[in-house]
Amino acid sequence: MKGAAGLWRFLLSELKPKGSLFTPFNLVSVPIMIAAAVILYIRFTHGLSAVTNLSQEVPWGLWKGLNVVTGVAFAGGAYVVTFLVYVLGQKRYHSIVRITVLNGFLAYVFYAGALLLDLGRPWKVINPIIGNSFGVSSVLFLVAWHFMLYMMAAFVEFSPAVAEWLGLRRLRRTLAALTLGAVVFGVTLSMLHQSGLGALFLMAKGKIHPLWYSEFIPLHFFVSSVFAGLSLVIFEGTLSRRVFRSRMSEEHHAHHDDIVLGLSKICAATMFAYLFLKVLDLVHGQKTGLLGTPMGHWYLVEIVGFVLVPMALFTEAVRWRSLWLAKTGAILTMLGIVLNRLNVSIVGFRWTEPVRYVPTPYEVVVTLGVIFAEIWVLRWVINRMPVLSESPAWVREEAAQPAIAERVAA
Amino acid sequence: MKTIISDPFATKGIEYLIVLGYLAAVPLFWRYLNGNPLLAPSRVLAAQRKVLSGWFRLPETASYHPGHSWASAAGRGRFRVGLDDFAQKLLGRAAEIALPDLGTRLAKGAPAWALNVDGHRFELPAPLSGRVVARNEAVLRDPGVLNGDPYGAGWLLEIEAPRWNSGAGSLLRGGRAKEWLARAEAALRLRMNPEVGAVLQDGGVPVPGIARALSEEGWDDLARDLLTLE
Repeated sequence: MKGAAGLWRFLLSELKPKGSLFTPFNLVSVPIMIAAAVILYIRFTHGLSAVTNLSQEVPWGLWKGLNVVTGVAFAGGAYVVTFLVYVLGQKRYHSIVRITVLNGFLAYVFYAGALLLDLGRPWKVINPIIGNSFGVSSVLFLVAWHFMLYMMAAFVEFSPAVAEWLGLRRLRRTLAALTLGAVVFGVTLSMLHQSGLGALFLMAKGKIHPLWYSEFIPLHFFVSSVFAGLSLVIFEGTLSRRVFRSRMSEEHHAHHDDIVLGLSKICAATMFAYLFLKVLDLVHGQKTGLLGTPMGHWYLVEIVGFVLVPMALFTEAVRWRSLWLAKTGAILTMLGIVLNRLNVSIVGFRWTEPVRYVPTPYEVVVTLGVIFAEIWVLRWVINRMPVLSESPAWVREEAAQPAIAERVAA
Repeated sequence: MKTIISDPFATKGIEYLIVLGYLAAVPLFWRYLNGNPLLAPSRVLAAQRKVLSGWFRLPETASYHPGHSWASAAGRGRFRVGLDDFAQKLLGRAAEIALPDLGTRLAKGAPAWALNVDGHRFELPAPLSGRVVARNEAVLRDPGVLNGDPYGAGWLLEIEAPRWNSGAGSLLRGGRAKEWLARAEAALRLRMNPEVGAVLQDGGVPVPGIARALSEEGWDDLARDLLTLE
């Protein structure tokens, strides 16, 4: 690429769509995103009450419960997979690192970014970072810093792919050298903030139904983020194989079955540990008597139907080497995570109030709009950068340079 | 039930029982999860294996490292190690084989020997950790011995392995070794014909130096890729 003008021309050419515009996904997602943009315009000009059912009593609704709390759990795949590949040396997962990190990064940008929609004065979100008012006594101070730092770490982890796309060789070398540090930093931050999100709910003791409130909620959030993230990786991998088949490298195709079954095994083992924590919490908190109540039945649906059953499916998937069982387990697990996070943040929140919070259709449209926008960006990046496809030839040549130098020296 | 759960001592007792029960269940669950798969790797892979089995020898007397080396007990804490059939057929005849000196300490998975094939150097890993106590001089004089009998006369080194820390226990054997080789074969088949699946050519016998037969240019990278698949 020759100079800034060449780079600019290249970027403009890359903005053009690749492929048909009239796909079923586009036809569904575009109207929803446009509607979401209109609703958000009203929200920022007329305030939250114009489009949401939020109030002083129920300040956290669907946008936080689904986009922020649940979306971040699904981003957990990035730190688990990078930990497996770069720290534990499990190279067989290498082919899914980029797509997982990209997924995690975009999940943070969009879902943590969705926090801004919910804030009464969104322009003040920068305060904990710049020190105008750090607010160090708030758990949100930790959440803000974790989110910001993790987004930076995830971007550094993904950035070699951007440099490869732009053909910036020297920059790619520098960024690739930063990868391991970013991974270690990112894994540490992820472990802290997945549990930190749970710690937010410690502030609401007494407002959350006892079956979902626990002193161990940070631990529950952390452990469940492992199988939440990996289930998304399994599910997303299945979709990618259909949608981006032509862009996938041979390595990706060849390893797919083993990767899915390996991740299923990790999911099964983590869910086994999670169930133990949940049962122990139930007895320790003397909550077993509540299982006979309607909320107790709902709790059992979540634990049995969406933790125990998918755990059994993952286990059998590993034993039977069945991709179908693994995918079914992944879908059930994802539904279970949505259920759990919504139970904690909405269903079980102020459950004694006579008038319960129910999101408005506008809130639902915005939530879907944010999810579709993330998928659009994800698709744009995959279609242009070496995410599922192999790195360009010059990267492989550079990687082979030391070996050539060695041969010459010999 | 209500009286039991509201009594803190009884509650603690139940907690202890749950913890003990789970601790007892962990090894059972783990064994169940890691038990031999009840089905072959997948129908596709099984079909490929059916077609391709017989391409590469995999004697049950040896244990295998995913880096395509084998180890076989030679008594008195010693192991004979070498290059497997897959690797030697993939690379073909080497012009020269470089072996480590006697007394060298090898680490499992770290490069142990190198083959020079048509000016390309391939470093391959040791299957075990240990100290080199013998080298096969016949292979050094005539590398073709390795291609003729990789598990017999073509052995490369004898290693004296520490009893506890050699890594021999985690080598692949039996069903796991067959599965691993099936995966390696499947990966090789993908490179041969990524689109149409198993065809007539799969029924043939591989030529020595498969990698070069597949791709004249960049065959060394192809071979490296296939040799490092786990």
